Amino acid sequence: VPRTRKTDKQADIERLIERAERGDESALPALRESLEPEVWQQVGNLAMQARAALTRALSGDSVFIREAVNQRLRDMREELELPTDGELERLLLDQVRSSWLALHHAEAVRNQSLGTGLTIPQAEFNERRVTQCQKRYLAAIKTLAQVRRLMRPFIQVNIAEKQTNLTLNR
Amino acid sequence: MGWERRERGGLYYTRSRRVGGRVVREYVGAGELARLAELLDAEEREEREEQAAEWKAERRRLDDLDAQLNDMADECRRLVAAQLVLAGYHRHKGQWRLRRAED
Repeated sequence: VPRTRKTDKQADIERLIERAERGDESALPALRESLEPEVWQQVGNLAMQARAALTRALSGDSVFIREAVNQRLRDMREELELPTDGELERLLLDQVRSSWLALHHAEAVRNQSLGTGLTIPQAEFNERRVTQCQKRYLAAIKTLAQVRRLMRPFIQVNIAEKQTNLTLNR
Repeated sequence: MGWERRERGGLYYTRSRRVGGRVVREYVGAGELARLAELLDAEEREEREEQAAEWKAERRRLDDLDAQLNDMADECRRLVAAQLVLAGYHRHKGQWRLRRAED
């Protein structure tokens, strides 16, 4: 069931992030502690539920289409997963797969509705959804790439007050 | 849409439609032909209402799907921010930068 309001836990995490970003070191232990396994589990479940709902919407009663969609999602994970991925990267990969599925579904809804006597606002709504899904999909890919780049181990070297970060390739 | 009694006593079937933002009343006629027009109009109206209800249900279903995806995106944004902050990053003009090490 989609949520619309932020939970207390989510608001707490955001406050801790803000404090830490302002340089308040004392927020870090609490932030670390707030990312308990249940938080990851909840987000993982959210991704799984979204994928299940989209797969149902896309395949309808067709077992064949459902299996083809699931196979493609499994292939995507195999193609995109890296052995060095941590929990966050795996979650972001889940987001990429769900956003890809959402984009396909939005395109299918738009294409199937062509020539069915849709009103202009209805056609615009479908077109807008495709655009939103494209944006969400691209943003998910960008975030995954960014996290992979930033979370790589590095060595920070300061020479004559100039800071250089050397990334280690894994 | 409806029946209207004219001054001379006859019943006329009329239909209203919007033309350039204004409502225009059209006099369809009287007698059997008008009754047939009324039946056809009712059928058309029913069909339109059914389509509108179908679209409403479809729209709700799509909005629910989008809400799920937005929830997930929100959660991911929060976790990314938390993990990057814990790894020593901070946001500067929308970009993640590593906090300068203090000796």
